[in-house]
Amino acid sequence: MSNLHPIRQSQRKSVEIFAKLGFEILEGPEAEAEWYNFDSLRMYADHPARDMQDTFWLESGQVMRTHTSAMQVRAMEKRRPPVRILVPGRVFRHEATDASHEANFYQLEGFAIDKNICLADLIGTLDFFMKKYYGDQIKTRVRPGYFPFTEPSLEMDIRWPNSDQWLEVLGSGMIHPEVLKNMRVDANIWQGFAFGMGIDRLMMLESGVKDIRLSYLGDLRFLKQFEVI
Amino acid sequence: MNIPIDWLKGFIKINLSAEKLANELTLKGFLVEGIKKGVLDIEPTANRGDVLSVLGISRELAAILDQKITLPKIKLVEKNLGLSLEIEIAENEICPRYSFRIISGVKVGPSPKWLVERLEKSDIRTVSNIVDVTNYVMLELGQPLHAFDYDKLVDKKIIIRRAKSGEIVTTLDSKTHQLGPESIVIENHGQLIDLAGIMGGENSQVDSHTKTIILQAAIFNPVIIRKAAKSLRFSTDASYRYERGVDFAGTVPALDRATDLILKTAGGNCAEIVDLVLKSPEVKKISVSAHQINKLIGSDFTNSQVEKILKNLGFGIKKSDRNMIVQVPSWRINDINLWQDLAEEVARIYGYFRIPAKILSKSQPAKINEQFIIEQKLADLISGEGFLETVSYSFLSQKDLQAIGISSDNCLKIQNPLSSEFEILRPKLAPNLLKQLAKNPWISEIKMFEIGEIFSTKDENKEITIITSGPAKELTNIIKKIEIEFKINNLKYQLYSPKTELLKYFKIKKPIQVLEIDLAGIVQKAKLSDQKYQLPQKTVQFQPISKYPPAVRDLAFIIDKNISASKVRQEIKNSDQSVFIVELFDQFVSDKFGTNKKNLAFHIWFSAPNKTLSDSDVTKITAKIVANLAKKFSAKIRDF
Repeated sequence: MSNLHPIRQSQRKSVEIFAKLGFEILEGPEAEAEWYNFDSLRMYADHPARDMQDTFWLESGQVMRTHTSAMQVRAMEKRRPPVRILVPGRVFRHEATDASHEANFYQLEGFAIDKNICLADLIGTLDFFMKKYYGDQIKTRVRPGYFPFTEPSLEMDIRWPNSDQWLEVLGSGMIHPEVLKNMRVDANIWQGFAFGMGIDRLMMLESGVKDIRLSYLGDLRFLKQFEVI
Repeated sequence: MNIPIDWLKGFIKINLSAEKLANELTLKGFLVEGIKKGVLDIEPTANRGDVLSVLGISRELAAILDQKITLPKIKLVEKNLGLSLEIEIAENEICPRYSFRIISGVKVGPSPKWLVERLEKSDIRTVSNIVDVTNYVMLELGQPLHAFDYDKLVDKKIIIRRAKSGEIVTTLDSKTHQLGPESIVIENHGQLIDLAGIMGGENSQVDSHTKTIILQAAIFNPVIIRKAAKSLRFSTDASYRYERGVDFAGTVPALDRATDLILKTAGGNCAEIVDLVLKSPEVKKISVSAHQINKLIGSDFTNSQVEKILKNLGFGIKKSDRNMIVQVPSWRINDINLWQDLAEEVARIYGYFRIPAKILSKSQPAKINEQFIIEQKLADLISGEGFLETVSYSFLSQKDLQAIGISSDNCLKIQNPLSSEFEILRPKLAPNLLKQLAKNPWISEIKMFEIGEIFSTKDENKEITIITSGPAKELTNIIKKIEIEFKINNLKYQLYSPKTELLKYFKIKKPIQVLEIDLAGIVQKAKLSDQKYQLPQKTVQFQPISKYPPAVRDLAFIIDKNISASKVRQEIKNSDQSVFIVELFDQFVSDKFGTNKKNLAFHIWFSAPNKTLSDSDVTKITAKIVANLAKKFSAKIRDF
C-alpha cells in the first residue's frame, strides 16, 4: 500500500499510454529562456497571442515556462526526425488563483515528426488516448482552435455518455513550418503534430476533484484519498 | 463577444435554431460559450481580428452554410459644405490610412429604441445618437469609428503622430494618461484631442451642443496600439480590434454606413469622404494544391472542393497548371500567410470531425529515460515506507528564506510576483513541506515527501525531501533502501532536525526530522535492474473536504485471520457517513488472540460537512463501527 500524489498517478497513466506508441519521455527546465517558451513558437511580444498566457518573469530575464511546449525546439537541438517525444512537467501562469486557476500546475506535451504524419493521425491518436485514459465510453469531439505554433490548430473536447456537456481538455495541431525551421528541420520533407494537455485537469475530471488548488496544499484529507493498492 | 442572431439575419439567411447555429460555429472554429435571449456569446481566437463584428461572423457563416451575404444598401447625397480639415500624418507606419467625412447640422439627442436595444445586447451603454452610431457600426462592421466636434478644433488642422514622452491626454472617460513614445495621438493647435486607436479626447468630444462633426475611420498600426494599451493598462473595444488587425478596405464602407445612420437619427448634411491612403498593404497571393492539403490533413479533397470553400470565404482563385493561385481577401491579410493556413481553412470549413481518424503507425521502442524511471522508483520506494507524497508551490517569501538562513543573493527572484509570499523560486523543498505539515494539526504522526525542482542562480535541479515526526531511524532506513535498490555506496544526503526557532516560525509544535537528497546524485550512480514502476489500477472518486476539522481515532480489532483487511476497511467505511478515511497501520497474527486470529489496527478519520464533530459524536460513531464489525465478522475491539 502506498500513497502517490494523484498528479503523479495521472502522469504515469498518461505516459504509459503514449510509451506504447513509441514516445520518448523528456523533461525540461522550469525556468526557461524567452526564446524557447515564446519566440521559437511564434508567440512574439508584440502579438496578442502573448496574452493567451500570463507570465512570471524572473529578474534574470528568463520566464517561468508557461507551457511544456517550451521543450519543442529545445528537444530538437540534439535530435533529428523521425521523433516521437513526450514532455511531462510543471508550468506556471501569472494568474489570480481560484478553483480552476493555479499559479503552478502540470502539463503533458507530446509531438511527433515524420514524413507523412498528418492531422488525421493526430485526431486518431488523441481519441485513442482519451479512450485508454477514461475508458471506451468516453466521447471525443474535435474542432478548430488557434495556437501560434501549430497550423492547422485543433482542440479536443470530451463528454461522458450520460452528460451533454463538452469539456475542453487539450490543444494541438500540425507543427507550424516556422517552428520546424526553428528546429532546423526541413518543412518540405518533414511534418508532424504536437499536443498539450493539463495533467491536473485530466486527474480532476477522472476523480471528481472540483478545486485545482487542493493538489498543492498538502491537506492530508486530500492526499490520503489517493491510495494506490 | 456578444452577437445577436437577428442582427446576423440582416446579412445572411439563417434557417437554424440558435442551438444548431451555435454548434455549427463551434465546430467550425468559433467556440460559442453560451446563448442568452437570442444572443450568441462567441469566444474568437487571437488571430481572427476580422471576425470581431456581425459582418465578420456573417462571412464565416456564408462559407459554413454555403450562402451569400447581403450588405446594407446605402444611398447618400453628398454636399459641398464649405468646411475643411487639414490632416498631417507624421509617419506612414503609424497610420497607413485615414478616412473621414464632415457632417454638419446634426442634432445631438437620444438614440432610437432599436439602436439602444442592439447596443445593450452587446453590453454597450447608450450615450447619444452620434456616439451610439459610431459604436453600432464598429459592432456591425468591425471598423472602430470616432466623432470629433468640429467646432472645438481651434484651427482646422490636426496632426497624427507618436506621443512624446511625458505628454498628457485626458480621454472621454475623464481619465488622464501620461504617455510614452509607444502610443499614437492626434494633436490640434498644441492640444492632444485623441488617444488614437484607444479612446477619444475629452476636449474634442461630441456634446449636446455639437452641430458639426468629423467622422473618422482610420487604420492604426496594431503593434503600437497594443504597446500603448499594454503600457497604459487601458484597453477598449477599439484597441481590442486594432490590436488584432482591422480590415484595410473597410474604412469607407464603415463611414458610409455610419453617415447614413447619423443622417437618419440626428439629421444634417454630409460632405464627401476624404480618404488618405499612405501605405497600402501588399496583395497576398499563395500557391496551393489539393494534393498538398491532403498530405498535411490526411484528407481526400478534390481541387474543386478546395476552390469552392476558399471562394465562399472570400478568397480569389486563379488556376495555373496543377496549383491554384489564391488571393487573400483584405480582411484576412493579418493571419493568412502560407499554404498551410489555407489547408486549415479548407479542413475547418469541411469539418475536422468529418476527417477519418488514423492512428500513428508502429515505431521503434522509445529510448529509455533513466532519470524519469529512477524518480518513479524512488516515489514508489518512499511511499511504500508509509510516506505520503505531496507537491507544493515553487515559490517562497523573503521571510521564509531568512528563516531557513539562505541568502537571497543565491536565489532566483520573480520580477512580477503575485504577492510577497511568492517572490523567490524555492532553493529547497523543505520550507513549503513544513508549511504543509503545519496545516494538518489534527494528526499526531506525519510522514510526507516531495520530489520537485529547486532553483539557484546557477542552475535548477530535482530534489527529494522527506520529513517525519517520527524518529530519524525512519529516514536512515530509507537511505539504506535506496542504496540497495540502486546499488549505490555512500549515497550523499542531508539529514537534520530543524531547530526549535525554525519550527516555531512554521508553527510546528513537535520535533521533525528532514532528509534531503539530490536526484542527480542518485541518477549518476544508479544501476537500474529493470524499468518497472507501479501503475494506478483504479480510479479514485474524490470526496469533498469539509471546512471543519476532522477527528482522528485509532481502533484495533481481533478478527479471524482469513478475513482480508481491505474488507474490514470497507465495512468500517460503510458503518457511518462521517467515516472519511480508514487507514490500516498495523496487522499481525499472534496466538495470544486465540487460534486463527489476527490483530488489525486502523487510523479512522471522522468528518462532517456542516460541523466540527464533538467527542461524544465520535464516541457514538465508533460504537456503531464496533457493533457493525462484531455482527459482520465477529470482530472484537482490542484495548491498547
